[in-house]
Amino acid sequence: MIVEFTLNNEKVKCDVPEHFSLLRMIRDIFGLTGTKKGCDKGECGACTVVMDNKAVTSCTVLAPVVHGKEVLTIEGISKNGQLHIIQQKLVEAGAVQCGFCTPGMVMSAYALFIQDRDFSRDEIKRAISGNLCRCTGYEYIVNGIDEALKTRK
Amino acid sequence: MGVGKSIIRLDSVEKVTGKTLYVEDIKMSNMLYAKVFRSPVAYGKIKNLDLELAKKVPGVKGIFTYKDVPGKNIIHVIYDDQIFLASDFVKYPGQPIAVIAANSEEACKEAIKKIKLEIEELEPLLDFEKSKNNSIKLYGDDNIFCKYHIDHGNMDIINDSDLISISDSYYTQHQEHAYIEPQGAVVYWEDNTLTIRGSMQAPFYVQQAVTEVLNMKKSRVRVIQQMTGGAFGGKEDVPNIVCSQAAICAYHLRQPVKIIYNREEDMQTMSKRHPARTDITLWADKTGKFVAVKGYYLENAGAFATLTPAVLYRGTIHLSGPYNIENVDVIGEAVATNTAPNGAYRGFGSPQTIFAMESIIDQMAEKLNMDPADIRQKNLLKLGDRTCTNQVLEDSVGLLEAFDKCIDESDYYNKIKEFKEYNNVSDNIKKGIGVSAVYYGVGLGDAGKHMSRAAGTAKIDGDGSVTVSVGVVDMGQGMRTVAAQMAAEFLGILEDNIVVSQVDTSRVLDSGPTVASRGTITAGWGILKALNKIKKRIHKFLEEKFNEKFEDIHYKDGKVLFGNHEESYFDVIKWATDKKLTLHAAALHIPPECSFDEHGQGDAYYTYAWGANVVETEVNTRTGEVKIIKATCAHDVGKAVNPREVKGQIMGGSLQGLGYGLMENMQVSSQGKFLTNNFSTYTIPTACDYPEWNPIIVEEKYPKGPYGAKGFAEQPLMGMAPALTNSIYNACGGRIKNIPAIPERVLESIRGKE
Ligand code: FES
Ligand code: FES
Repeated sequence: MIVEFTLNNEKVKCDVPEHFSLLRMIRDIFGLTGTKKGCDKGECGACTVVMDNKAVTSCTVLAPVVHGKEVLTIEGISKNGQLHIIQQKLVEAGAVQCGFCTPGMVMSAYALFIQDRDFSRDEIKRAISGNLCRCTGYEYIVNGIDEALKTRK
Repeated sequence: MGVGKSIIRLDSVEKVTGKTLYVEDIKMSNMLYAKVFRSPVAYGKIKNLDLELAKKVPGVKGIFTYKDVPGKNIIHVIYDDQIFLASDFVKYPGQPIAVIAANSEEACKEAIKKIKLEIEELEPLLDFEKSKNNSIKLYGDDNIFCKYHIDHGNMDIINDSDLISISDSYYTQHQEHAYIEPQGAVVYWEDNTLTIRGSMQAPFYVQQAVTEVLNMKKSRVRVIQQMTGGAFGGKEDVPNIVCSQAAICAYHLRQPVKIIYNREEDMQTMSKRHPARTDITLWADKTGKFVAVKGYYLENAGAFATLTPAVLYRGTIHLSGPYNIENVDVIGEAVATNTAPNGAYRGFGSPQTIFAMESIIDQMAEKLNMDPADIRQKNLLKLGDRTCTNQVLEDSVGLLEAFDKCIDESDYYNKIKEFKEYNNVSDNIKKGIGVSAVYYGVGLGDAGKHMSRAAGTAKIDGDGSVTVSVGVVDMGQGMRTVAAQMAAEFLGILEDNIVVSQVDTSRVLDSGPTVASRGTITAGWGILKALNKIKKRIHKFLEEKFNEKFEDIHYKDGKVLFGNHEESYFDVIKWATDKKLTLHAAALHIPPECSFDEHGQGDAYYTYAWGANVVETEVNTRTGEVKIIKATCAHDVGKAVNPREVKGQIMGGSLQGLGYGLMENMQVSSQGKFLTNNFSTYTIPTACDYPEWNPIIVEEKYPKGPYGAKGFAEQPLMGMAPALTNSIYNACGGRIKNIPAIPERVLESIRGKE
C-alpha cells in the first residue's frame, strides 16, 4: 500500500507491505538505521521515535497507521551537523555506554523537551521507564536529560 | 587529557546521533538472511529430517545440516562436546539442527514451517540436583562436567568445641544478560577470505570455531568485531555458534549472509548465568574471627560444557570471600541437564557463591550478637595475608579502604539505629540496611592461562597521529576510550590524535577474549609495549641527530623533552618520518603466571580487585514488595583511567546485581524451556527501579598494571544480591535463601520467622 507521511520534516511517500511496522519501514525502506530493534514487541524502547509529538515504540506501529502523520527519528533532531542539546547533554553526562538504547532514550527525552512544561526527576524516570538500558544504571541518563530540559526557558 | 581524566567517551557522539553501525545495520548487495531450525524438545533422538518441501519455498537458497559441515561438527570452547548442528541426539530445547539461507526473512520462516522432523522424545533430565549419577546419562558416567577442590589449612580445627558454627544452603537462579542488542553476524567473502562481522567479545574464539567447522586456514577466516550493543559475558563464547551458522551458509553459497536473532530465540537458546545451590558452613571463634569454612557449590551447566570449567573455577575460588580464613574446604561441581548451556555472565560463577557466603556471615553475626559490618571488618584480607588458595597478597589490597569508605559514606551505623527506631513505630513499611564485601581475581587465572596474553600494534603517521590495534574489544564498557587515554598519556598528546581500531583478527595477534575484567589491563599492556618500541627508536634517532646521549626522553603536553632540548612532538615525528624511521611496532605482553594445584593451592589470579557495598531498602511487610532506596558501592580499581566511566561501570554493574537479587526470575517449564523469554515476563530494572547511587572509587595502585590500573568491571555486580537480601533481613527479619527476592518469597521468609 502507499503511505504518505512526514519523515524528519520532509514529505515522503512509499509503497510498503501492510504488515510492516514503522520500525521496519524506516530502517528497510528509508535506510535510517539509527532507530534500533531490541525486541520488536514494544518491550525495550530501543526503537522509540516521535510521532505527532509523542514518543512511540515504532515496532508496534503498523505502516498504515503512519499515513498522514509526522515522524521524527534520531536522524532528524540534530540540525546542520550540530548535536541537539539532549544529545549534547547525554554525551557530557556519560550516559552512553554500548549505545544501543541511546537513540530510543534520546527520542523519549525529545518528546519531553518539546512540551511546554517542566519535569521533575521522577517524571523523567517515568517517561523513560519503557526504555531499557542494561549498561548504565540510568543515573547518568537521567542527569543528562534533566540538564537538557533545564536549558529550555 | 590522559590517564585519570573523565574525558568524553570517544564513540559517544556517533552513538547518540544513531550513526554507529551495529551488525543489523549492515547492508550488502545480494545479501541473504539466515535462520535456524531448532529442536522442539529438551531431549530426543532424531529419526528423520525431511527438507524437501522446505527447499522448494521460493527464495530459499540453501538449507544446511551436519551433513554439510566441511570440518568438525563441533563448536569448540573448552571441551569439544558441543555439537554444531545436531545429527542424532538433541539435548536442549532450541538446539540447532539446520540453518536456512534465503533472500528474505519471510522465506526463511516459511521454510522452517515446512521442515519435517521426526523425533523420538526422551525423558529429559531437568533437576540439576538430581543429575549426578542419574540413570539419564548426558555426560560421561556421572553427568559431572568438572570438579574443583580447594583444600587450605587443616579442617581438623572444626572439632574444637569452642567454635561457633552455622550451616545453610542457598539457591540462585538463571540470569539472562539482557543486552539490548541481540546476537547477530554478517558473513561475506572478500579477497577470497571469509570475513565475519559480529557482535562479540572474543573475535579470536570465533575465528578458531569457524576455522574448525569449515576446515579452513585461519588466515582465510577474518573476524572483525562490529560495535557491540552490550554483552556482559553473553557474547563471550556463544557468538561462535551464531557466526558459524551464518558462516556455513556464506561458505556454501558464496553470498553475504546476515543472521540476527530475535529476542525470544536469543533468550531461549543463548547462555545464561548458571543456576546453583551452595551449601556452606562457617566456623568462628567467640570474638567473631572466622576460623574455617566448608562449602559445596553445585552448578547447573546445561546440556554442554562450553565455558563451565572456567566458570566453576572462579565460583569455587570466590566462595570463601575476601576474608582471612586459615582453613578452607570447598568443592565445586558442575553437572549436565537438558537445558540450554549456561556460560559466562559478569561475575562468572562467583555471584552464586558470594550470595551464600555473604548471607551466612550475617547469620553468624546474629548468632554472635555482632554487627554485620563489624564482623566483616574484623576478617578482611590485608596486605601480606593469604587467600584461600594460599596466595600471598603482595600488592594493591584496597579492601579495608573500600570497606571503610563504604561504611562511612553510607552513614551505616547511624542508619542502623535510625531504621531500628523507625521500624519500631512503623506499621508495615520497614527499613533496612545490608552490607557485603567482595574480591575479584583479575584476568583469566590458572583456568585460562593458555589464553592470557596481550598483543598490540602501534603506528605513528608522519603528522603525528597514531593508530593502535589491540586484541580486546569495546562492547560498551569503554575500552577504546580508555585505550586512547593510555596511548595519549604515554605520548603526551591529546586523545584526538589517537585512533583505536576495531578488533580485526587480521591486524593483531590473538589476545584471548575480552572477559574477566581484563580489557583495560590487556589493552594497556599491548599498547604501551608497542609504543615503547617506537619510543626507543626515536630515542636512538634523536641521539644521532643531536650527536648527544640522553638519559631519558619525556613526552608531555605535546612536547618531547630530552637533555636541554624541548621540541614539539609533531616536529620530532616529522623528522623521524623524513628519515624513514620505522614508526610502527607490534608487541606481545605475557602477564604474570598463575597456578592452581590439585589441592586448589597456588597463585590463582595475578591480582585482585576489592569492593564493598551497602544497600538500603524499604520492605512492605504486607505485600512483600521491596524498594531499593540507596546503594553505596566502593571499588578498588588500582587506577581509574577515566573516573566517570568507572562510576558508570559501578552503577550499571550494581544494577544488574540488584536485578539478580530482586526481580530477574527466569522460569523453566517442565519441558526445559524458558517461559520468561521476553522483556515483559523476564523483567530487568527500569529507570523507575534504580536506587540513589553513591559509587566510590578507591585507587590502590597495581604496580604491574598499566598506570597502576587493574580490572574490576564485573565486581560491581557480584555482591549486590546478598547486600540486598541482608538489607531485607535487617528490615523485616526475613532471610531470603533463594533469589530473586520476589514478594512471595519475602512474605514467606517473614512468616517463616514467626
Ligand atoms: S524494538 Fe520496539 S520496543 Fe523493543
Ligand atoms: S548503553 Fe547499553 S543498553 Fe543503554
